[in-house]
Amino acid sequence: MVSHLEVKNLENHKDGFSLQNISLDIEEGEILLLGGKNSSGKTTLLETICLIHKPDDGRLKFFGKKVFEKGIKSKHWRKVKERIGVQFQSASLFRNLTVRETFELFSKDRRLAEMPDVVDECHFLDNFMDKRIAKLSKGKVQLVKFMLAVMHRPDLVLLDEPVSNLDGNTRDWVYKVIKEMKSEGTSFLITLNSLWSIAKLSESLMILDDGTIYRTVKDFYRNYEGYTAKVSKGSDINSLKSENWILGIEELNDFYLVHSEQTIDKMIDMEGISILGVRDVRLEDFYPGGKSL
Amino acid sequence: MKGKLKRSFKFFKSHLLNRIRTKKFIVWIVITPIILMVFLNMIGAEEEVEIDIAVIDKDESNASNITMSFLKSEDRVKVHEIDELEHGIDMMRDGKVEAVLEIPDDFSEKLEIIRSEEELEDSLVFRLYHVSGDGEELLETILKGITAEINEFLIGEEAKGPVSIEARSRDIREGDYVDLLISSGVMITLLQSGLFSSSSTTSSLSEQMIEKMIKMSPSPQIFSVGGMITTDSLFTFFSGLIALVAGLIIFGANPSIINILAILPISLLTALVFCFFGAGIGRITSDRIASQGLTSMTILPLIFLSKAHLYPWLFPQYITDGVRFFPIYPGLNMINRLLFYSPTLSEYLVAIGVNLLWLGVFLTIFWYLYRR
Repeated sequence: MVSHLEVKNLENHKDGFSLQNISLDIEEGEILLLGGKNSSGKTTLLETICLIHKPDDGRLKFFGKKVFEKGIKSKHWRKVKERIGVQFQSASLFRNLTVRETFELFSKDRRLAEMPDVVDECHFLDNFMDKRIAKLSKGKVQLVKFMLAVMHRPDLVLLDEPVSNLDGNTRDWVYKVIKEMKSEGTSFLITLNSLWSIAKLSESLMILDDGTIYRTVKDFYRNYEGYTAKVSKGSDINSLKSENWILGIEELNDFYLVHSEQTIDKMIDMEGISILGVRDVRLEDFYPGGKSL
Repeated sequence: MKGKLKRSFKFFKSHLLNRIRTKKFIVWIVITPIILMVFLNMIGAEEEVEIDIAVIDKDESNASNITMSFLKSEDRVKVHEIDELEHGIDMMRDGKVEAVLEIPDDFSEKLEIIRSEEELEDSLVFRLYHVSGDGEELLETILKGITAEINEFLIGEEAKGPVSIEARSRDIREGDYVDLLISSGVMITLLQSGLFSSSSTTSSLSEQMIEKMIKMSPSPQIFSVGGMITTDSLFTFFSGLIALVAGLIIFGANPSIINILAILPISLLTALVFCFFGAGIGRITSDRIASQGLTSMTILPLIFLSKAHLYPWLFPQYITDGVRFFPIYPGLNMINRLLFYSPTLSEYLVAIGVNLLWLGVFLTIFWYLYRR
């Protein structure tokens, strides 16, 4: 497998916020989800990886090529940029350009001769192509930004909360596009503030807390269709630990949180286990503290 | 390089569309220069309504009193009677009067000789000290009327002209204030339009974070943003042209076509200088409101100090000399000269050269700010 992105000991201390000792690796066709509370550093990390903010230390490699090390950006960056696509959450588009003109502008920028395929395939913008960006809803602007990030079929895509304003159908379409691109070998780094179906495709979830990596959950797709149970403190928790369908157990003050795969039946039948409540897995379950049922 | 420029041209085009579709911007670049010229014309017209003259009556005779009454009866003249020439010169320096007229102490004596038709050994001369160029035409018109009245009423021989006025120019100002209004209007338009539009472009790129999209583009951002600033320069140039045309119409100036054509390159160059200057301000502040504040604070001293050469007594010598190298001065001076005088080719080329130098300075700063 070819590494598409390798981040080693990345540090960025700016404007009173610090990213510290961040290392991650994304291989060809892999999806890494990046979660965390508000202000945990997800967007800063994504933008530092894109060198929007200059890292203070660490190393960045894209497609095996060193792009940043010891405070110096390498000449490979310009070529690398052609192989990556980015959707920024905060970046605006030119307000007075129409959607069509926006696609034309960035198509030419990416040396695409015609309107990219992804624009033809997306019917959610059919009636909006000649509308100005300023007249679009937040959701439509977000969709345009997603399409700009993927329209040149890049090898690595970095998406900052790509579906937070999208309705269900549009979200499904975005999911379909990502799934298709993943099958072709495109890798993704996607920040999330809540779980959505993309988790089904993801290899790992990385949780950031206060600018550092709090935990990394491998094979995260297994979690997505599982559930979280609140189990009383008096329960025989050791019997659960040995089960391979248990994804994780966390001890809180008054109870345990047990993350489990797909079905609750097995736990219901176990002796010595007192279940206080159950619900679907939430992203927050993986954050430090702050879990509730 | 060609490919990069070609790819960056699309940002130029997009910014052009973005600008054209902002109605307020179009109104601003078209209407503002016209309003400015009308306003300057009002100031200019007011200047011509009344002129302050200090008069020293050294003769203190009936004849000199009559002469004084001629002056006082003139609607366009406000007379300040003083005793000393030096006092009058000081008043002129302070801008309180435009000229100092000296009625000679031998006025009544020589008048007698003239009236008795005897030979006059020396001519009868009124000395007029005035600011070079400043309201010169108006002064001339008024004083011709006064000498005609003296000749007619005191001597009885109108237009024969035994009484003359010797103008002694005090070389305090170098340009004609009224004439300067057109070139000032054009330059203020170029200055404010250039600085405001380009600082707003670059600060908006930062504030709305469009810059991130540009940074991720394979085209170098220095070319992409440079394309946008060039677009702003063209709008600024267009706005300057409107100011020029409005000025020519409103002030009734009539320079040759060649001189008008020669104004175009210097205006375009000045627009580029101010736009890249403004781009730097916008980039440094990265905030539209802060950039507007800083731009305003830059415009006012530039306009004010560009006049330093007109009022040297207000400034130390090094400032008076230094402002000649300010980016506003070569354009201001050359447009003025092209409108009302005939500058030599070398003078014109020097003005172009100084502007190119400034453009080089601001392009270097622009490169430094956008090199990443």
